[in-house]
Order: sequence, then structure tokens, then C-alpha cells
Amino acid sequence: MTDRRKRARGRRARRWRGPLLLVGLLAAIALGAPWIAPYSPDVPPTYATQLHLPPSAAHPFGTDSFGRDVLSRVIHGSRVSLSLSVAAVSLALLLGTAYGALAGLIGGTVDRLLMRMLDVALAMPRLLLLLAVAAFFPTRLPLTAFILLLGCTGWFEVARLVRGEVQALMHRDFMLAARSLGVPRVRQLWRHLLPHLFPILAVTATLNVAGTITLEAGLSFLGLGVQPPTPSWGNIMLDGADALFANWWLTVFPGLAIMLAVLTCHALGDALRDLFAMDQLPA
Amino acid sequence: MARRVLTRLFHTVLVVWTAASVAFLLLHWAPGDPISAMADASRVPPAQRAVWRAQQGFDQPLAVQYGRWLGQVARADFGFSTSQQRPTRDVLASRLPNTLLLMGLALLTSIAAGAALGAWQGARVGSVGDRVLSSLMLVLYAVPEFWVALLLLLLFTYYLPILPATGMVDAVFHDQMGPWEQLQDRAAHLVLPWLSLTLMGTAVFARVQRAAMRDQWREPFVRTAFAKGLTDTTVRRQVWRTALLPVVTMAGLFLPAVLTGAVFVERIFGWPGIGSALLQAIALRDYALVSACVVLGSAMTTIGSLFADLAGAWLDPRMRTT
Repeated sequence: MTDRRKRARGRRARRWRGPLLLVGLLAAIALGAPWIAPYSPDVPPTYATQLHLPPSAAHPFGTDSFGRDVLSRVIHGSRVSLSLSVAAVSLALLLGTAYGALAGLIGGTVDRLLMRMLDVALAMPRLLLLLAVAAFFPTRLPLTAFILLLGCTGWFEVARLVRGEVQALMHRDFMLAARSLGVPRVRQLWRHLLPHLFPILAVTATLNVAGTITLEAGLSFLGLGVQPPTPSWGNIMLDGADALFANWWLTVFPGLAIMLAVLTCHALGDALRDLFAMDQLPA
Repeated sequence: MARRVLTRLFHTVLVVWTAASVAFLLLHWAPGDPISAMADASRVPPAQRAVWRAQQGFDQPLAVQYGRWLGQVARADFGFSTSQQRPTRDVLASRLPNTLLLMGLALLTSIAAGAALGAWQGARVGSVGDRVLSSLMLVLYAVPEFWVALLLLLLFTYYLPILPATGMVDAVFHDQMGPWEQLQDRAAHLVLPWLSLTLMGTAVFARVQRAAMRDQWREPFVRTAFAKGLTDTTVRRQVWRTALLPVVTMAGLFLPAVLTGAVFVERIFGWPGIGSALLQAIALRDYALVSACVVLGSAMTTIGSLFADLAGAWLDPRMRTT
């Protein structure tokens, strides 16, 4: 191996080290929440002296109006916020890939119709849709319904990307060969297209997780997302919003957690883009 | 060009129609109907409710109701807002200008600031200044805007109390001020909501402009321009003009984000716009106002992207033919 190539490889490895370390850190915090968190996220101490404590050695992120340790709630909240976002994005990827691949594979009038419908769906502001469903839902949104809702409103952009990619792939020689050999469409999709879609899906996934983390936080901050007492980064901030000036730590620390998670996703996305040598993907 | 405009107008109508249909479906999926959702409905005897229901046409077949609903949407008449106790149209008329002021101002300043910063960065990619700004923009891009709004609120109304925290004008003294002071009062109330929206927007546009500028800088026409002996500034201006297109396109795509941001910002700063009315309507299950907002928001977004499309065609002659 030449010296230059070795150096390039070293550079690429260094680019990976940061994002992977961060992802590992977040995953470890989320998975190990019960062991890492110094206190329980929901059982408050029984004495009133523990309410509204500013950050200290005993409570690095302070305590909230129920006397619960905010650090513990942020750690447990990472579990909810991250797993919810990953689940919702997985669903969105599944739906978007199915729709986009279908449109690209079939082509013709069906493709045009499906794309026109997608354009319309894309034109509607997602937050408004989410708010409307939350408003019309008979009860407070249960967590599973919230995840389904985020997934079902998040796949439009994925579908458009996948369809574009599939359409480009259909003109490649290996797809021409597959078609002329009479490979069934399902197998065309599964064996020939999906492996090529992996890079674009991986990068989109990281960006979508970042967006969903923010969206979840926003909806929970409005009281329409994850319902208390389950902690999420958004609803911890909601707890603090009533008395923002009295307990800033309820707002600042969950926000920093969101920032860390979103930046991690972006860094991972950049690293993936490097790996697959893609420049032409949406930022 | 005319065909393009017509296609886009048709698209807008399609979007509004879809939004109206979604709102209709949600309305009927929701428990009860607007009659039982009205305040104090439980005290109204069933016979009276049936009369009201017949008056409002809620006893008609679904298809008839749907047709009536579409007619209402076409006339921008969404019925009576139960949370505001006045017709939805009045609510929109009084609240919408405030939201548009906030959104329009934020959009303009973020495009201007983002394009300026991005163009500066794009001409010197990899320099220290570029890297510092890029990191800053990435952070601004990564944090939720409502968090930024909360931090600004904390910073400038509590720790350094130089700006008012809520409302559009001073609730007590505004009416007693002279015209000049009233203007100052309005401006002071606008600063924080505007800044919250602008910071995020600037980050978005700066990133797009920087990338476009960097790509255009590698185009052959740049080398030609330098070879002709044009000055640095002239070339930079030419490159910038060609790199402006993605920014304009982004402006259209970015509208939903401004709208979303406005909902949060209005809530946090008590800005009397359509966003805060919407959140209140959701809390009070005011179906009429919520569906009005869904339709209106979708219409605003598509019309915005239509304008972005036209502006793009004006900037780039290549786009005019299709």
C-alpha cells in the first residue's frame, strides 16, 4: 500500500472516530439509564426542601418542582426521545422506501400519479398536520400512537429520494439485464435495488433522526407529545417553562442534550456521506 | 412560462383541497360534533341540540356535508370559533397580519444575513473564519428554535432586562404614548421573536449559500473571468449571482419551517398571531379554528413555494423554458 493511500485511510478513520464515539456514548446512556442515573426519574424525595434546587454537587442539573433530579430525568429522557425517534424514522424509511421503489419500478402513469400525490403531501406543513391530529384525537396521545403519527407523516421526503434513486438505477446495465432475464419485480427490488439504496437510506436516516428528535421535543414542549410522568427532553422543558426565570436548569440542560444528539446525527451523516463518497445529497 | 405558472396554480389548488379534506376527515373522526364541543353543551337538552344540529346541517349525509365544507373553504368561511367566541374569519383577520409581519421580517433578514455570510464563507472555504462560522451555523442549525427563544427570553428579559418579554405592545402604557414612542414600543417587542426566528433561518441560508458558492467557484466561467483580467470583486459578484439560485429555492422550501417556528415563538413570547391562537384552539378543542389553520397553513406554504419558483425562473433563464 502506498504511503498516500495509508494516510488517506488514517484520515477517514479519524473522521469516523468522533461520530462513532458520540453514538456509542448516547446509546450507552440510553440503554444504561437505570444504572447511570443517580436517582429515580419519577419518585420524588418526600421532603419539601428538595424542590427547585439549583445545580449542585448532589444534583448537577438541579431538581424540578416535584423535587425530582433533573439529571436523572434527562438521562431517562434520552431513552424515550432517542428510541422514539429511531422507531419513528424506521417506520418512515419503510413506508418511504416501499412507496418510492414502487413508483420507480412500475413507472409510467402510476409513477406520475404517485409522485403528484407525494408533491401534495410534501406541501403540507408537517407540524400543522401533527398538531391537527393531536387536537382531534379523543384522548391525550398514547406513546405508540405518537410514534406511529411521526412515522406516518415523515416518509414523504424519503419516498421522493428513493424514487429518484430507483429511477436512475433502472437505466443501469445490471437492471436491464435483470429485467431482460425476467427476474420478478419483487426480486428485482430485494436483490438488485435495495443494496444500492442502502447509502442514501443510511444518510437520510441520520438526518431524519435528528429532525425527529427536535420535532418530538417541540411537540412535547407544547404538551402534545410524550405525556408526563414519562420524561422526554421536550416535556422536561415544558416543566420548566412555567417558571423559566426561577429554574433555568430545567430548560438549559435538556436543550443541551438535544443539541448533542442532533450534532451527533449530523456528524454521523457526514461520515457516512464520506464513506459512500456522496456529495449530492440534501443537507 | 405561463404554462408553468398555471401548473403551479393548479398544484396550489390541489394542496388546499387535500388539506381541506384532511381537516374534514379529522373533524368527523373526532368524538362528538361541533355542537357538543361548544361550551356548556352538556346543559343543553337533547331536543335543542338536535335542532341546532339540523340548522348547521350536521344531520345531512357525509357527502353533502363534505360538499358544503368545500364550499365554505372556497369562501374562506370556517364557521364559528368556540375558543375565541367570534367567527373564525374575524380571528384570522385580526391575527394573521401579526404572524405575517413576524414571518416576513424574519424571512427577509435571514435570507439577507444568510446569503451575505454564506457568500463570504464560500469565497474562502477552509479558512479560519469559514470554519468558525460553519461551526456556529451548524450549532444554530442543530438546536430547536424554541430552545433558542427560551434562552433569549431568559437572557434579555431576566439577566439583562433590556427588552419586553411578552406581547406586541406594552399592555398598560401603549395607548398613552406619542406616535414615536409607540413605534419604539412596537419595535422593542418585535426584537426577541424576530431574532429567535432569524437566527435559525440565517444558519439554514448560510449553509446553502456557502455550498452553492463553493461549487460555482469551480465552474469554468470563473477561470475565464479571471483570464479576462476581471478584478476579484467583479468575479465574486458574478459567482454570487449564479449561486443565489439555491438560496431562492431554499426560501420556498423553508416556509413551513418559518411557520412552525412562528407557532413556537408566538407561544413563548405571547405574540398575538395565528400560531398562539392555534395552540389555544387545540387546548380548547376548537375544531373550526384548527381546521382553518390547517388549510391556511398549507395554502401559505404552497403559494410561498410558487413565488420561490417564479423568482428562480427570473434569476436563471434556463429554468424559464420548462
